[in-house]
Amino acid sequence: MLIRHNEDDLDKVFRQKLYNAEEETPLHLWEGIRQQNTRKRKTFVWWWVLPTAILTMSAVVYLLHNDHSRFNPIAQIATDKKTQTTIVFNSEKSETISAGSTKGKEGLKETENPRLTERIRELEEQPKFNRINYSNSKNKVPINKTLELSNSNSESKESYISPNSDEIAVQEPDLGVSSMDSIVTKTQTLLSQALQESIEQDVFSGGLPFIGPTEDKVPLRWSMGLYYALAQPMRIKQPNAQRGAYSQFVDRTQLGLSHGAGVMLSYSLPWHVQISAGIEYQRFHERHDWIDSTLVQNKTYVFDYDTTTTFTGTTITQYVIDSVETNEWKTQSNSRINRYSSVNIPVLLSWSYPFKKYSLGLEVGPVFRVQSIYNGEFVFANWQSLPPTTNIWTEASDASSSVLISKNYEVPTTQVYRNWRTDLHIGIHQSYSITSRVATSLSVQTRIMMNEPRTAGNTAHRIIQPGLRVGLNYLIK
Amino acid sequence: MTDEKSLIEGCLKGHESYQYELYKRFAGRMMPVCRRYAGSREDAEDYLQEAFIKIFEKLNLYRFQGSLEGWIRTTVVHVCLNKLRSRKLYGDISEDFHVADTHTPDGMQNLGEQELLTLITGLPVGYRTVFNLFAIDGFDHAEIADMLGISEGTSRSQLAKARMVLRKALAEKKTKYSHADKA
Repeated sequence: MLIRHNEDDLDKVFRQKLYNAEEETPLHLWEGIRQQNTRKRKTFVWWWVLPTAILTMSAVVYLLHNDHSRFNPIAQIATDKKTQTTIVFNSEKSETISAGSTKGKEGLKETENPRLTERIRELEEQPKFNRINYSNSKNKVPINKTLELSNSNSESKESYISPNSDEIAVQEPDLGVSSMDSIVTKTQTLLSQALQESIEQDVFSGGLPFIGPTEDKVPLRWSMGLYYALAQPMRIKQPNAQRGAYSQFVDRTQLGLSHGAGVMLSYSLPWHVQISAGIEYQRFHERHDWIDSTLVQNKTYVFDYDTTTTFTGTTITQYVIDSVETNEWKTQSNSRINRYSSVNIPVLLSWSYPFKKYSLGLEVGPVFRVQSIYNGEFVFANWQSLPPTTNIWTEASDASSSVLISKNYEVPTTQVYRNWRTDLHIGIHQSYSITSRVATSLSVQTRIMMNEPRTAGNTAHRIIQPGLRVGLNYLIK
Repeated sequence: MTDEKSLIEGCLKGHESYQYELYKRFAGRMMPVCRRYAGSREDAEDYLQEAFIKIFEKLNLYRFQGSLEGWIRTTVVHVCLNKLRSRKLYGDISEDFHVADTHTPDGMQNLGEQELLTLITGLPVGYRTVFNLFAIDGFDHAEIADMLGISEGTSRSQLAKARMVLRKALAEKKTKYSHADKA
């Protein structure tokens, strides 16, 4: 504190009394500061999270949709396990590889055609100087290399394709004889990839929630799922929530459990997208503890008196010359048990990508709570302090809260409401194919109840239900 | 109790418990500051809230030179001035007439904090702001002129007028009390 020489008396008095003065601050002030700080932190985090998430998602989508099979006609067509592959070298010799689904990479090497096997071995043993010949030779021998894929016949056949044929899938001009080994190696690789994909696509690898395969080339399919979900309801205070001009409430605790079961029908769309709708029954209960703080405004008046003496006697007139307001915060602890039971209609849009037998994806959508029954039961409600409210100046004060606190607090009994509400469902799902038609699924999900059923004047909360869901899914067709 | 350095470091890391500790430690002392500058209690609460948000935001600028309370007090005063400025509440400060100081009434020492606070909040905004800055918070006229964007002369005259009004109010109060005592 700065002390001046020759300080004015008045300044001195004010400084001494007020510089180090202290007074209580209301509870809601800290709550407001905390919220503002949290909001700023969240905004700051989102500035980083959002672009990172968008970049990551873009990278994933780019990588997934730039799968080489999309640009490789051989691998793309070879999705059927009955595919017959015919390799024609130099338009004169035809060799066939039976790409049966039961054979993997090893099976490919041991082709059923002994001539091809022998030829491959021969080419593999060819001296490397041929490559030099290829790069230097002006008299290259043209070779048309064709992979023809046919679904019509499961037996091996020989085919001769002219160089002008439209069926030429891969045509590399000016390939020398010396590059035969690389052609064979490349062919083997392509065939092995095609075979691997054909195996994968026959697995019910699509994702949960409730859904079947999602490969773009696969016909659209229906699937059905049964599931059970377990969640922990939590309350989030909505920003700037107030229960009245002179009332605030502070943090609360809650314990609860939510469980529900349902059936869902899904339809697979291209691009790994699925749309699902279903019906479920859900029950949940929660214990909701909170504290109300109410501002009680008291006004103290300073009176002055005038004495008037007339011939009839002496009259004393009282009048107000000053008033001092004192504000007190009174707190009330409450605890209530809420029980909900509802029939829900979830409508979800999901995206999942298969990795062999597993799939991973995201799901989002509204959940319509068609019917909801709410029971609110107060466990206790206790005023921490009740101020005296009887004073002669109450009428002069406009503090309506002083009327409120003078009443006995009535504890409400059980109330029942029936509502139509909408929740927002967000989740990450993962599934595992047991057979080509049956898959299990596990999801981490959250439901945000956009409107809590009406309670005794309490509309300032939003309930979220983070939880887990397990399901069993069946591919119908 | 957490020492000041750890408290500041905790706040800078964004730990809510430390921020609450800092708030608890200083909010009670800063509330009367805000009340002196603001006209009403509601405004004072608003200023205090804004001031603490600013304090947490700018705490990294505190260089451990001088007391933390002094730094916080200065921040609170600046926030109050900004709030008043944004509401154009002291835009009417002008250098109009010279006021001769009168004698300070006796018995002022007996007045309580609330009564003095009531007297200050009853002043016009311009008088109140300059009086608070000069008489209580210890800024000199050059600093006040700089902070409020007025001349030093204006600052002096506002202070003189504030003192005059306060002395008059105190004298009236004393008369009323003496009437009441007689009655």
